[in-house]
This record gives sequence, structure tokens and C-alpha cells, in this order.
Amino acid sequence: MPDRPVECGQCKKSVAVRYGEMVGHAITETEMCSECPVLQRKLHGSQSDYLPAESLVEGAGLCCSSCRTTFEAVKMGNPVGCFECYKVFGDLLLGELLAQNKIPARLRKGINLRRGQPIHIGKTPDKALNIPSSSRLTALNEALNEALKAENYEEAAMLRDQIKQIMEKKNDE
Amino acid sequence: MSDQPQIPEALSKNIPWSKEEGAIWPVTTFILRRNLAHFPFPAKLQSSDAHGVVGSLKEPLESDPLLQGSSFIPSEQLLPQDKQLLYEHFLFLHGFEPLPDGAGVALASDGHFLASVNGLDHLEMRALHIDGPLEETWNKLSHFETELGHKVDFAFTPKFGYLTSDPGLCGTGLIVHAYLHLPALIHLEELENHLPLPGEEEIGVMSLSGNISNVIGDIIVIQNNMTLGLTEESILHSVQSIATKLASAEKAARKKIQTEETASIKDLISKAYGLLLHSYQLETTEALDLISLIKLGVDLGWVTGVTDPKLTALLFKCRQGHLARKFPNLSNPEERAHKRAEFLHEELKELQLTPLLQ
Repeated sequence: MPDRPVECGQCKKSVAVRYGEMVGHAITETEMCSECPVLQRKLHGSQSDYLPAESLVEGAGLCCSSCRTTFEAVKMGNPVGCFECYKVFGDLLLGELLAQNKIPARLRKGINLRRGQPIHIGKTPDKALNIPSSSRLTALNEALNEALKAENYEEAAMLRDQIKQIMEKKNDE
Repeated sequence: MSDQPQIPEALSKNIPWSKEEGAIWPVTTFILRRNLAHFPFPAKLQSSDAHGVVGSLKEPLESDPLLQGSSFIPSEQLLPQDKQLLYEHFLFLHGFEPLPDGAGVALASDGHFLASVNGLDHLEMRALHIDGPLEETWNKLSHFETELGHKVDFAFTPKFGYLTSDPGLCGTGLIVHAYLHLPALIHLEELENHLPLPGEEEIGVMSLSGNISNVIGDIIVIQNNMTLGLTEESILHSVQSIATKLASAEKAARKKIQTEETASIKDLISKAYGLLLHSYQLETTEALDLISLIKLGVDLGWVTGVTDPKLTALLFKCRQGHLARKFPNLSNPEERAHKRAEFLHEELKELQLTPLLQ
């Protein structure tokens, strides 16, 4: 068996990815660096310009080198295999989440897949997130406005009573 | 495997439902998913790694005040009826995930908190919220999770937040389910007028069967559809907002039924009365539907002889796991359906329809 090349045939950088392709009845394998533009074109057409170094390609699909989960499998609904998968599949996963409407519409337009900016805006591991107890009152006020708008006066009166009760309880406290 | 049940008896007695009479929004569940950074996620976990995950989580879980010194129960010690009981008590919607070797649960003695290890994710924390502001339960859960995070490394990246086996749950890893009892809206066929509009994609509506077209016990579940790109506060707010609107609409619908003495609803309640007291066999879903109608009847003042809390308890006690705890020797579904009917006859023997329904 010949030695694996140590550098990408295209860019002369260290080899990180083996790309297998079936053309007709023949299988060709090419070893490339992780940032190789040829690899990006093969995987994503001319759009993509980023792929992390931890990835390799198994068969014709992207595969996590740490747990051997393929992106194709995740796309089919199988679970993600490890922490590294998120690095390896990064922007492709994000693309899938966008396609499945798993990211709020207001963020979708602003997401630039190439920049790798954070999408997460919630709690971080360093400290507990305490949320003040105000959402009940806000929700009741919203419901009251909607009931008034729809001229459901009986419903509005019940909501007003609930708001009053909460306010009185708060004042007592 | 131990042949003794590992789940405390108190669990089948402490019903996770608000004590408020005729409660429309009786319970909410918070589900928080986390994985450890240095182990493959459960789908790729070898047996030795699975025990490593348990080893990392067991002591921190058992020592946290939220679990009040309860001990970790390995999955091989959980009997099928124990799993069923947990499934029912903690209001699982998609089945209790099969727990492989190296998995297990830790359970708070008050029955309000469950931590499952090595299910779909390394750790799934499930808290029941019954009374008071929703935020209080979240704050407790967040404090618990953060304390745990000081002892183990959770898989987290600034871009994707907390990393989960299902990428659709990464970010906050938080799913909130608000359970609403909406018999008036459902039987007046007004529910659809109040459901989230198609544009409100952040919120989903389900039933206990998981499918909104097959509602069981007139219970509707509101849940957040997204976990990434949102804060925990906005998730709570969205669920609270829709649930409050539905609860308010249900209250108005009950008032309308009471004022108009709607004949179709009177008919449904009196039929439920007859079936609950005179059936030879009752399936779980059938029993839940009938008890729900009697609950409505009690709230409207059309049915007497039973209290609302008792009916609430029956909503749980007639389910398979609870029934198996009470009658351990039931072996086949037919026998179970007969015993369920018998049990309900006995529990509801004082039930009476008021003159309005006669």
C-alpha cells in the first residue's frame, strides 16, 4: 500500500481530508487539506469557503473523525455523535437548522454562514440565569389587549380581575 | 435485577396537578438537555464510556439539595412498571426513552424533579411546575444545572450553545411544555380559532398522543419549537403568552356553556356519566376523555358527588403504570380494561347529575 501523501496535492498544506468520489464504476480518492478550495467546490459547489480541520470524508459524505458520525446520517435524523461533530459539520448543521425553521425568522436573514458568528444568545455555563417573575403579568396584559381588540368584553373582565389580584398580592408583599 | 420497585410509593400518590379547583393550566414541565464535553454522546457511547458518564454525574446529582439526598437508580433496577409510572407522572409525550446499560435516573422525593442519565443525551433534567410563577421553577433548575456545571464540563460552544444529540435542540437545550385542560373550547369546536397562527412558528401545539388531531382527555400541550437563537426568558414568555390566552378563552367558553346551557355539552357530560358508571371495560384514553367531561360538569355545577381534586387524581390513577401499582397482578390488556372500569365505578359511585342534566 503506498504511503499517504503528507501534503495536499492542490495547496501543498498538511493533509486532513480524504475525499472519495464514484464516477461511473470507478472510485477515486483524493487527499486534501481541510481548507482546500477544490474540496469546498466538490462538497458545496462554489459557495463554501470554510471547513474545519477535524473533518474527513468517508465514501462521498462528510464524516466526524472523532466518532465517525456522517453528516448524511445526521441529516437523515440520526443523533449527533459527539462534541467534535458540531465543529466538523458546523455551518452545514446550521444550514440544516435554517432549512428546518429551527432558528427564529428574525435571525435568519442576518446569519452569514461564512462568518461563524454565535447564534446562541441564552445561558452560558459560568453562571445561573435568574429570570424575574414578571412574565405572568405581561402575558395577562397581552391577553387583555387581544380580548379588548376582539371585543370579548367578558373575557377581558376576567383577565382584568386576574391582573388586579396579582397587583394586589404584589402590593401586599 | 431487583424485583422490588425502586420508585417511591409517594410518586403514585403525589399527583402533579394544580390544587386549584377546575384548573385550566394545571402543570408545566421544563426539560433541560446537556451532554458532557469529554465523552461521545449516547448514540456513540461504548459501555465503558457510559459508566464513565454515570461516574461523573452520580455524585454531583445525589449531593444536590434539589434531589434531597435521593440515590441514583441504574436502569437495570427499574422494572417496566416503574418506567411506566415515571412516564405518566412526569408527563412524557414521546415515550420514556429506552435506557440502555449504563443509564439510570435520580428522582426527587417530592416527585417534582427527575434527572435521566444516558438517554438521548447524557443528562436530561425534567422539572414539574405546578404553582406560582413559572420563573421560580426555571430559576431552581438553572441554579441546579449551573452548580452541576461547576463539577462537570458540559459540551458548549458560543456558536451553538449547549450541544445536544438532536441538533434541533441545541442552544438553550430547553423545552417547556404547558399542559392545558380545555374541554369547553374543544367540545364547542372553538379551539382552532385560538391556536397559534401559522406565522407563530416559535410555538407548537400537541396533545398527550403527540398529535393535535388526536386529543386525549381534552389536554392540549403548548411547547416551544425552537431552542437556538432565543433566550430562556423569551421561551418562557412565548409559552406563557399563548397558554394564558388559551386559558382565558377556555374560561370564557365555560361561562358561555353555563349561560347558554349548551345542549350538546349537556349530552356529552351525561353520556360520560353513564359510561363511567356502567362500562364493563374502559381503555385508558376512553377513561381520560370521560373523566375530563365529568371535570367540566363539576366545574359548571352540573355534576355533584365528587370533588375536582379526586377527578384529577383519577386522571392519573386510571393510567397503566398507576393501575399496575395498585393492582400488581393484572396480566393482559382485557383484564386491565375491566379492572379500570371496576375501579372507576367504585371511585365514582357517589356521582350524581343535577336536575339541569336530568
